[in-house]
Amino acid sequence: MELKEIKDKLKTFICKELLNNPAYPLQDEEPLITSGLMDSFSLAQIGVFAEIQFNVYIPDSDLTVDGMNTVNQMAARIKKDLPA
Amino acid sequence: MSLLGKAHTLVDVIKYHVEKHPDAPAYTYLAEGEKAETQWTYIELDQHARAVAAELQKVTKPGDRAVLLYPSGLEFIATFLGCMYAGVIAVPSVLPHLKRATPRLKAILADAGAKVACTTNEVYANIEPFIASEPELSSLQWIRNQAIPLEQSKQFKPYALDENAICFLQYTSGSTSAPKGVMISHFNLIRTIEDIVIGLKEDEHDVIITWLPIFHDMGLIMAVLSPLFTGFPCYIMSPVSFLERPARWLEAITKYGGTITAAPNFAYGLCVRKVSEEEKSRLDLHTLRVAINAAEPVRAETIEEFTQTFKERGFKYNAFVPAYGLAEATVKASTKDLSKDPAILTLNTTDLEEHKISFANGSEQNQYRIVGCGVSHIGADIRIVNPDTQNVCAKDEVGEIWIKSDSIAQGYWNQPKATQDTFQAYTANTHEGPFMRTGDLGFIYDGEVYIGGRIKDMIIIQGRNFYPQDIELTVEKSHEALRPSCCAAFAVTMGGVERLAIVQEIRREYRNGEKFDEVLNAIRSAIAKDHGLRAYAVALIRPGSIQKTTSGKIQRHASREAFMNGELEIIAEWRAPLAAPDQHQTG
Repeated sequence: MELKEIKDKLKTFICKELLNNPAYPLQDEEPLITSGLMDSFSLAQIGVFAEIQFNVYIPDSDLTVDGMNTVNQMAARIKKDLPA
Repeated sequence: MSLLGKAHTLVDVIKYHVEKHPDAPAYTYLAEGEKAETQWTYIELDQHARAVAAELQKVTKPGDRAVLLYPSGLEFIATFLGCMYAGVIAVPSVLPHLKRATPRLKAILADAGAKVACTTNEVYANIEPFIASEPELSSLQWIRNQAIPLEQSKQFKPYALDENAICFLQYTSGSTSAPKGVMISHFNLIRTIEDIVIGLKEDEHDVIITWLPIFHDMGLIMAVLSPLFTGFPCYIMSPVSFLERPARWLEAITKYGGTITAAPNFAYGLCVRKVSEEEKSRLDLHTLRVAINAAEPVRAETIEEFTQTFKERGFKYNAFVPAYGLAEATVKASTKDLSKDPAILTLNTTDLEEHKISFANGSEQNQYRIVGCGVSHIGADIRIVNPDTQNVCAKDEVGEIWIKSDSIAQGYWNQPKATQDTFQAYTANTHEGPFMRTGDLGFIYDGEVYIGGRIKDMIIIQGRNFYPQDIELTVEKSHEALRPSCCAAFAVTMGGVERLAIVQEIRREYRNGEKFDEVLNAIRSAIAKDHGLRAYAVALIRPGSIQKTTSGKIQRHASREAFMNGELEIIAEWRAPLAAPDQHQTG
């Protein structure tokens, strides 16, 4: 799967489910948690979404504010564990 | 001169510091965990608190409740103290997050009968769009700190506080559907602060660094109010600043010469894993003499690893202060005696599960290391009592921890029955009391309290408390294929860390279905959404197979045992790709 496709799926999920605003123009590099847009508890939802959607289990040690603050970071972490 | 034994309320305390050193720094907020954004001296703190108090006096009378909805920052402190000045009962609450449903906040507002909500402009702007549609929110009088001119402090009319009056309600007890507000009196608060000050040998040369949530007992009393009592500087950053880059916590200790800090066990482990060599090379932790470890089980391995990692930067093992407390005891029950190293016992787990204390004989298989949580410094009477017979336990027995002390709260707000059950316990064989029942299991060895688990089924993950019934309700509602009231949520221990497991019955008409993946996904997504938590395992079991008491109550312990022993009648299951749970359970 291309990085772009992962990012698009993540963005759709985040805007719809976490921000309650499907039309939100979320940017790849936009800080989500440190900006207060999402709270750190929402990371659990990102984790479960990655498991269900991409079959990638992100361990707790990676599911952190510093490692999952932007769509780019999330997508790169998911891509790492996807079959090539 | 020390204020110990002299102050009746924190209002006396502030008055003393304003007279003694008005321009000394009291609180500093570190924006983004690094920049010193706002600093208040004692006189500024007093002015801000008076201004809020004057605003409260316009719309409340003493004894009314005001809910406090704040992010980390100095505004919260001004309002908390302002409530005290005006004799209004403060109700600190978790900040309702933008767009997140807030059933717990609504339940708290209703239970406390709050008349006023205090917050910042920023939070208000976030909440405003949905205030009108929520009757619980629209019926409140809203106060925003930034809208209060500081000159208004002159209009504050001093109010004579009774030290036995309720100072604030701490809502940490009870499930989401039935929250319980612990009633803390001014006397309770002063006595628990004295307990902390004496136990930690605090003096005016200390410096405290905290990132703990400011609305919880540990962050509020231990980290923010105890320095106010003694009169030393407190540096505050937000929990998010810490979580984003844990090294910020240790950098602040380095930069400001921090002598005291406090955090749950997981945070020390996070530093071991997340602080890079480069960040580490810039740290200097030699000033740190007290590192409180509390609010979740203290692990011997964590304090050893932290010491191993940071000793080259001046951290001393002896600085670790394991502690035990709960909101019902205002905050502190015990802290380590500072003259000693942390006490670690190696016990035989087979005997421990039988609630007997015996030391392990050295075989690796069945031993468990348990860390002592210290002693009371205000002479609390701490007993170990059999929770079923209510007889005082023998020395080598594990039982429920019962406490009688000046810091034991006045009970639960508007809950006479729950108050009676928890706060008015008498030992059956020796007829002593009244004691407060903690619901925690433990024992006393060599004068120190050891915590060995819980009687209540509460689940604690990363310092957050979850009531199983709240999670079970989320699970049941997540998919139509699930049988209502046939779910057990419990914690399993993995590598010493607690994780969530779910056992849920499937409805008869769905048991041969093919949608099990969809059902498992729905459960996992719903738990993450409602509780910010990932389940480690979800097991769907045959209808009618979950263990219940004769009266139909779910037996969580029995479900956990069946889960651990592979005895469930599983139809479909999901497990995280992790190692198997530890055999010994501290619960």
